[in-house]
Amino acid sequence: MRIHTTHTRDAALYQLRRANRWLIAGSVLLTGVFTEAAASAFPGKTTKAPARHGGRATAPSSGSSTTTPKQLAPPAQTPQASSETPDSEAQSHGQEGPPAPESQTPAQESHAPEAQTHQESQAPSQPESSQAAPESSTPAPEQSHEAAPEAPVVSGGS
Amino acid sequence: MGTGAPTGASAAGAAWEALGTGIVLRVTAPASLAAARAAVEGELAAIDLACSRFRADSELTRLNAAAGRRTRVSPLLAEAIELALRGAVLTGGDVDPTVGRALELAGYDRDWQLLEPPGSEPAPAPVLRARVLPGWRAVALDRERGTVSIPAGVHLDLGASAKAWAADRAADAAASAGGCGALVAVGGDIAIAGPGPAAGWQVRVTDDHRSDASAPGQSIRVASGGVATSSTAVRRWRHEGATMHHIIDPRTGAPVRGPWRTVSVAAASCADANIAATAALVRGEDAPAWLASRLLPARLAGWRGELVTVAGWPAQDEPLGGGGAVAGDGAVAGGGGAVAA
Repeated sequence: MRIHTTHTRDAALYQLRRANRWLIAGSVLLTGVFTEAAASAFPGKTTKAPARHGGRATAPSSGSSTTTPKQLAPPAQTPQASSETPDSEAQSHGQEGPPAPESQTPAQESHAPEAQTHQESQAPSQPESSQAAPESSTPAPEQSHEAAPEAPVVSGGS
Repeated sequence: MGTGAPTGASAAGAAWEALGTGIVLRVTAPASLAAARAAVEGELAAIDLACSRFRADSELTRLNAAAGRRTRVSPLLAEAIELALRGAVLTGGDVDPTVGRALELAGYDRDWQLLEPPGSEPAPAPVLRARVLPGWRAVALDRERGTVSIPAGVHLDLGASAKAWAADRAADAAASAGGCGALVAVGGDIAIAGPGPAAGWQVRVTDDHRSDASAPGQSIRVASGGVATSSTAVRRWRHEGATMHHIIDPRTGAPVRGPWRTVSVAAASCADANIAATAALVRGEDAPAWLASRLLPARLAGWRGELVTVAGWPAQDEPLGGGGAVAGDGAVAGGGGAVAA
């Protein structure tokens, strides 16, 4: 039967400490190796702004994106006044109704330092009554016609 | 605008219906009209199939039906959603694509031409308030993977940006196909591409895009970019005894009630112009200063007849009242033109 002396006990403890150190060092090394291998196998992707379409403004990548969006871009040239006034404008004015019962109109000047404020002397259309006429004149969906190229193109609510 | 381009007199044009609204195409080279129109029709058909809220077979309808799950979408719809989210970012949420459910609660659940028209009597104020208003931040768009995730119960509506974006794309397509300058108007939202007429394209801004060019408003000339007009005076319908319109305030879920009835904005693109015009209606009293700070030329027409122009939008130089037209309330409008405040 083997006799356990103090010397053999200390030697065994020393070997255990060495083994523990090697295990710790090995695990750290393997962690690094596996991390590198995983990073190489599944590379991350940098969020990029989408391709521009026709030189026009673009959008951020997502609703929660941290991408700084561009500002709404002003036009290269501001619109110019047109000297051409439709001939039949006076006729249309006679068809105008009173303003809709909106009661929230504030004084505009105090909110628009750079703004020019005018009083539009023709009354604004009453929405409810003005709706019927355009609707009845709306062409059928499949109808098509040649537009008069000299006439202004109308920009209005839709 | 390029130099040496044809004048407006040599331009050609066509008009038809698509996307549930009126389409106008103008090109500087008449011989290119057919090719340009084919390009526009193709572009609009693709966008309609991707972005329509009223088509059962559209991608957007399927996406809304799949709310709560991550859904794969086409690059076209992803771009449209991205643009809508960009509009929300740049307007501080004034233009929010997640108001689809609020619009449905307001009765706008089909093509608006099928809705009950508003009555002629004074309309009571809409008191509608949507129950689900999560806001645009709840939308997760992954452009790399081509997926979109919206919370359950949320419906996207791209109406505030998709038509103007369609006009931009269609104008680019027309100019490329025709090798000429092109103007495309989609429901009154106007985009310009390529070299235009020497003096610019003539545009009439007014309340309703279906009006003819004699409608009260202002004539301007535009050389590039886009012009968009948003109005609460049109696209109105009656729902549960109240008159509704399609511009929703995302903060309340109800149709906007503000000082402006119609706002027109010029920008580098029609999409940007439309985002700004819609945001101005929602923003209300602060809109002129907000537009001016962004150097966006704009014209704001108020319900009481006041008119504000900002950032270089030309002053109204034509007789406003047509020589003293009688307004609806019996007051005689002065015919001397604009009155500076």
